[in-house]
Amino acid sequence: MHKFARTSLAVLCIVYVTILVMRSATYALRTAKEFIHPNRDTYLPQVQPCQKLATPSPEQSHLQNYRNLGQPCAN
Amino acid sequence: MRQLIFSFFCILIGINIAYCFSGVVNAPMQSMDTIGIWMLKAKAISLGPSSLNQVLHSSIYSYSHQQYPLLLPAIFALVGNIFGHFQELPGLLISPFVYSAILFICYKTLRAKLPSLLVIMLTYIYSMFGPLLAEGGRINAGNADIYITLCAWIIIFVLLNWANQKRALLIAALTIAIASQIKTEGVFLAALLIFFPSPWKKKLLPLLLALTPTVGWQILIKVNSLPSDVYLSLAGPVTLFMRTLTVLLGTAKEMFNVHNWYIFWPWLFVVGALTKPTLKPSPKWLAISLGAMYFGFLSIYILAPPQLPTATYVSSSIDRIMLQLSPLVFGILAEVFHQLIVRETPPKQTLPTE
Repeated sequence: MHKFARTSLAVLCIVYVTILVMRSATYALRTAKEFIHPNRDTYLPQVQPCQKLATPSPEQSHLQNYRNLGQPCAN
Repeated sequence: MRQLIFSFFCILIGINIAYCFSGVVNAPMQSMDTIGIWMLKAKAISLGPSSLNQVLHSSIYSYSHQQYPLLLPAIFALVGNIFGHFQELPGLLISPFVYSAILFICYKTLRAKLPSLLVIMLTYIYSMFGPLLAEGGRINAGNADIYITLCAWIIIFVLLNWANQKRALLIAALTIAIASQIKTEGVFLAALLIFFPSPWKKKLLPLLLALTPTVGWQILIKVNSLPSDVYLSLAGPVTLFMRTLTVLLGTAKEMFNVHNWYIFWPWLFVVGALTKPTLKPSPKWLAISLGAMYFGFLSIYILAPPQLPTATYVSSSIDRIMLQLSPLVFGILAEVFHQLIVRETPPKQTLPTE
């Protein structure tokens, strides 16, 4: 392979991996933080089994169907 | 120095695995697909036949793709009942293990052709893919695509490394059969077997074995009258052309999604452009299989019913499709680097014997 192409490829690889390593550092910090202070925050809407919802969003509806399954209100 | 860099990448991969486990333990069930499809059916299986019957037939659950195969929910139900009553966490914890297995097989597959330092770097690059990390445990634990990705890696590993052994075709066929029962689209992996350079005499029986569960499941759908929310509809040529364009543009746009893939795809194109003049296009069968699988997904996109706008359909799923195709891309990449290294390394000079 041409010397220029080989050098370009090497530089590109180094840049790419450097970006990833910086990202990995944030993952390491986040994992350590989660280990020390477990964060049980959820992105899900708060829905209780058999709770009556006026106009549920698709997410609320799916979650409620899941929680209701096996409960008397599922029928 | 080489050993140090190798260890450094191993640590980085270890961080990613820990990151996935931490995601599952701290925020177990966050994905709507997991709640609405896979874990819903797993819970129904655990509760018994009447609940399963209800989930598979009632229109309340039509969003759960009632026609999907039940292998993954069955596994979640089996693992979920390990402590006597159904729990989600054991099933979700499989995802980080699958993530780790994928990285291990990725390393083993590439190691057969490339030096260890380059392989560990490529494995690390792969481990950083956003959709893979997500399905490995960050938000999307419990989704099916990571299982199909694992199947793709197993098939590529056996076909590349055990190509001359009889068991390669058989293992590949069994893996395709399993993938097809995880999600219907898993059957597209049969392209790897179809285009694998081996005589049809040898491939026919494994291919039949690979496709049998798909045929069996389709018969079961008909016999049990399972409702299907996905069907193919043929539109006019102009509409089909516009939809094809939308899918291709959606794929190209996703390739520049830095959040998911960093600079992998642009990097790949630069690697291709820089190395193309010196390389022969090999292995052809992997590239053809990749094209065939992409064509399969493209067909699903463009033949989707009109109430499912192509742009929305593509943007909500193309990252997962690209994850499923990624093992084939890495198989080709390994061959490209292998050719480069073989070409760049001067042959060893043997000392003249006295």
